[in-house]
Amino acid sequence: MTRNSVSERILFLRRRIAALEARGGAAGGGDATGREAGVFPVLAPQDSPELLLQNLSGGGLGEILPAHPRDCGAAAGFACALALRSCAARPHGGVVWISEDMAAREIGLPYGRGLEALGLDLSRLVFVRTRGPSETLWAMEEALKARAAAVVAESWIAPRAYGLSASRRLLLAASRGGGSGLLLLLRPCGEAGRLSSAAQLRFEVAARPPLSLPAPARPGASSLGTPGPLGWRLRVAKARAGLFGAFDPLAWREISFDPEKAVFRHAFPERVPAEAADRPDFAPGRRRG
Amino acid sequence: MRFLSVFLPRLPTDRILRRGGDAAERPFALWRKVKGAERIVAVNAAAQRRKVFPGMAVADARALYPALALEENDPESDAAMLEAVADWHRRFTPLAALDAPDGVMLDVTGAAQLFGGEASLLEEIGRRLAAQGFCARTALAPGPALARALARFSDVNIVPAEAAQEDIDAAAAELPIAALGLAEGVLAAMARAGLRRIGDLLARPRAPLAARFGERALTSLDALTCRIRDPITPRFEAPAFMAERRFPDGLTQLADIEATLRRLADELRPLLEREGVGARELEAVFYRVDGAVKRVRTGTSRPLRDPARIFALLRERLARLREEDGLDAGFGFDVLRLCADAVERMDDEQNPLGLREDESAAPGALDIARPVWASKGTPYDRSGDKKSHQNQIAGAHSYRKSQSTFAECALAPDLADIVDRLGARLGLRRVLRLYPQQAHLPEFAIAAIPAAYPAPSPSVAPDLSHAAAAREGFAPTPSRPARLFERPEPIEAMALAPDGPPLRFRWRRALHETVAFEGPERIAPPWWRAPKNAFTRDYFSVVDREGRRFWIYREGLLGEECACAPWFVHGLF
Repeated sequence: MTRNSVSERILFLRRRIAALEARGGAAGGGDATGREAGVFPVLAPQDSPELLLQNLSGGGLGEILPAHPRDCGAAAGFACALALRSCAARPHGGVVWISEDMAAREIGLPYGRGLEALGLDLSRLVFVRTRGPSETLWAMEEALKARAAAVVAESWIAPRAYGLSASRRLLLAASRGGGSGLLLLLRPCGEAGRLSSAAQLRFEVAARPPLSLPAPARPGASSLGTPGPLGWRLRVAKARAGLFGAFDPLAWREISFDPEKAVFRHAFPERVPAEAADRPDFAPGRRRG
Repeated sequence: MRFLSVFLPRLPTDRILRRGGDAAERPFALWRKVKGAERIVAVNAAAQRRKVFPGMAVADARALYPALALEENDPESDAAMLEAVADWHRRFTPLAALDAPDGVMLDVTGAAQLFGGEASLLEEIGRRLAAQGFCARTALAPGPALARALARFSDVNIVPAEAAQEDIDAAAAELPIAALGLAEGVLAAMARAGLRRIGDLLARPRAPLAARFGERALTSLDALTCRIRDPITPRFEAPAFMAERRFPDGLTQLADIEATLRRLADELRPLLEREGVGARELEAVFYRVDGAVKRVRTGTSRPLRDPARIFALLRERLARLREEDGLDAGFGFDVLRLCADAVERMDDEQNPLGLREDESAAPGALDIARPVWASKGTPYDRSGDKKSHQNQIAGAHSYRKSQSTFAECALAPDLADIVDRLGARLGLRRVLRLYPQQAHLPEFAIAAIPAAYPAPSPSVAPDLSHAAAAREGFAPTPSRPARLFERPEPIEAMALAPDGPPLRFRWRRALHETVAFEGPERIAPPWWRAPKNAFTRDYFSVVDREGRRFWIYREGLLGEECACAPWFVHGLF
């Protein structure tokens, strides 16, 4: 038995399980029906974050890990953007945002005005505070079962406590309710490769280095630039069958988020704000005068 | 009116002895210090047979019977025990009152036939109390004072409902005057006057009696002979909406208990519907065979009537109870009761015309019919109305569409459901909704209010939010971070004087070098309400060399408000 045939068999079994789950326990038909049921959409190897989200928005579980403890804020921002995307897929659903006390101490609480600025309608948001990881997992499962469009949970759970069975419960709840669950794991920073769970997607998120590096010093002005559009640097550390070929788990890519249209864009070198000599704020003469 | 009095003459000793097998057979007494002397206050039957009586000195009792088991009396535990017994009696009638210190009074008007008549009710209470290890005497009479007196001073235990006033007088006549429950002095005076029985009092003219023993004596006499109506004060108000089930053998399996609760929720629904109300507070009461009573209470975020939702809430509470100390079924629960303690008006939702309830719940319709969580603006405008009308003519497909219009009017049940379920377990204070506020200070610009509470009333002033600005077509308001620290964290910063951004700063021991910034945005505290030491803040959003964004501010205007303006990180983007 070659190595190849083993992986074929595992792939077959995975499809079969997915097909069973998709039918709520009815006997699945194997490979072909699995594909027909849309469990594993065969995707063109097109390198777009939107594709990942299509997979997630029909009920799935994604994990977001910061690459470095200092990237927690960036990871939370990305989670919010993802939640917005899955909200857009279900215009009548709501978002349940679960924030654990310890996570709140580390990276603060989600701020309503900021979420609003990202495009989240506050009337669609329920904000839940939990005391510990067990409550977080329970609340997330309940919210997913209750058909919320998106559930974002920020947890300070230890990687050992969050394992296969916990994540599998969440995944089943998500696929039953049809919402997308996003679990922000703040503690295992940078361990995206080592974590094992049943989640369908795992992102490792870091802050994106500023696109517009400071221009050469303007006479009289400071050498500092202006912050560009919101964006992140991320890699897809895990994508369950179907997507894996399309994404290189080691490649970091930079994306930016457009809050007005709520879409992700590739962060190709973009237009840099023009040198604004006529901006009154920076004009040295007026400032001193 | 029918009242049932339960008298527990040996409550203090029974409380201690009722768990131990043959210990009850041995003489046992409780003592207490009365004015410096140790006196017996309660004895069990075996001790009484050996002529040990309450009031005796402990030394005398020991001399009389050296093997007498003694223990110190604990009136507080007795009171608690009596309360538990009274609670247990609520299984027979919701109107149960404490009759301290040694009895329980039940209002069983109309309840006796549920237990096969009054005689068998008395018999059942006696049997069950005996099985729990209590020595009990019971009596049933048209008035509480008479029932109480009969249980304590007589062998007669029923005065029939159809008894005329003469029969009642005859039943009361045999009782001793102690049954009046008057002060010792009055009773002694009556005894001196040769009045021993109630009959002696009844035979005499009233005016001299009132003159000699006081108005109160006659009031007690009238109460005893049921001439005046004498209500009892139940321990808990009888819930208006209540469903219960009884089981000859106790339920022990959780699955059975849950199934029963589900049925009870079904039974509660028509009661609530009839009054046009929904439950805001629910209580499930479990009566255990051995007399223990367990209660599970839960609140809801909106009036609730749907059995499935009620049941889901109760199951949540049960699960939590199991985690904490467990719903100890013991030998089983034989009465399960579900009551709605607090109710609120609840109007039925309007059903779309021509669409039956089961159709609207069809799986195909579900995803379209999902209502908006909280629809903003006018939920039902004219164009939608017209469209839905046309669609109704058009055919089957359009039903769904018209229904979505209707569903949008309805209050968000999905949201409320999540709120209820999470709130039942985490506590309602931890499930919040965010509302924009009219405030410039960032930490006050959003209010987090428990989702179970109604939304704050929208103020008349214009909305400051971004969404409003976008709607109005104004220039975008300054950017706000996605996360805000509950308490701004101080940083060490090296800033461009006097009002520039920090060139580099140290936050949580890491050094960040600024490469881009935006600001300052100056936010002054509201001078009309802020304390004197609140300073103006200059906010900057700052990007460091790795691309991390911070929202930092400097507190105080250098040289004007303070000598050294500290820097803080307030949020992260």
